[in-house]
Amino acid sequence: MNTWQDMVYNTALSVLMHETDAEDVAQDVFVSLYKNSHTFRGESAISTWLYRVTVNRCTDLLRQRNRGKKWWGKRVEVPAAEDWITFEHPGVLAEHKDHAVVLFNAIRKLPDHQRTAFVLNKVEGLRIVEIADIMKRSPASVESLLSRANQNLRQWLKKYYEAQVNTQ
Amino acid sequence: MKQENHSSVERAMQSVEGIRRAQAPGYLYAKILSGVYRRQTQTVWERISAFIARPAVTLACIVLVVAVNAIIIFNGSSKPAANVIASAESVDFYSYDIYNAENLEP
Repeated sequence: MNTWQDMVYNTALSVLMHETDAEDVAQDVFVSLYKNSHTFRGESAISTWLYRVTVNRCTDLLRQRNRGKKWWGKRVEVPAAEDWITFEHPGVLAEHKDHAVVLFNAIRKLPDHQRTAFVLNKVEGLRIVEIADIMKRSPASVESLLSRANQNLRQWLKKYYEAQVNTQ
Repeated sequence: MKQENHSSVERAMQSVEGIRRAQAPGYLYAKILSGVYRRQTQTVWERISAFIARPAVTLACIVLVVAVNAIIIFNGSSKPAANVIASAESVDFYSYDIYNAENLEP
């Protein structure tokens, strides 16, 4: 249970970059696991199922926030899209912390699928085949997503560092 | 300058190398259990109301009601002749003057 808990929490935290939201998603995922335990036939590994539900919940939450959704009185607080966040992932090595803050800001700007693939690959350390299974895509498609994610991140980071130099 | 930017980009890209998994806070387990317990103790009516309160279900119900109303209205307005005849018959029936009818008899 502890391994799964950390696995779900770490994935949610890396995608959402917000501790409380990550806890809420983790709770939601395990309640969902309990609810669907009778229908779970072990067709896929439980970890795959947990990853899939976690990334889907995170994506839904982020979409709601981007829309500034107000639905039946349930208001979701909307942070401005261009807000700079000083999220420090607790697992990042101390010497990389400053650069990691910039990188996580860049990750926030990625499209949903690219962000999911990147986080699962780089933060959770999953192989392309495992990511393909989680995202219900072909390995080639996941490779393409990762390649585009890297490309977009490099572009964004280049612009960011150029702007930093110009402001100095 | 360009070289410096390039190395900053590369360092940022490599900053997640060797990243360790974040550990969930100790209270998360209790939080998960409370969520599961809440789910277990939920009554049938609470589950039904939660189902009805889902936006998709609510929207579907509204669309259904509007569609049924529209069908009834358009079907009703497509048969005006029958209504006119019916109303004419009823007027004839109720305006039938029994006294005049008697007077007409020889």
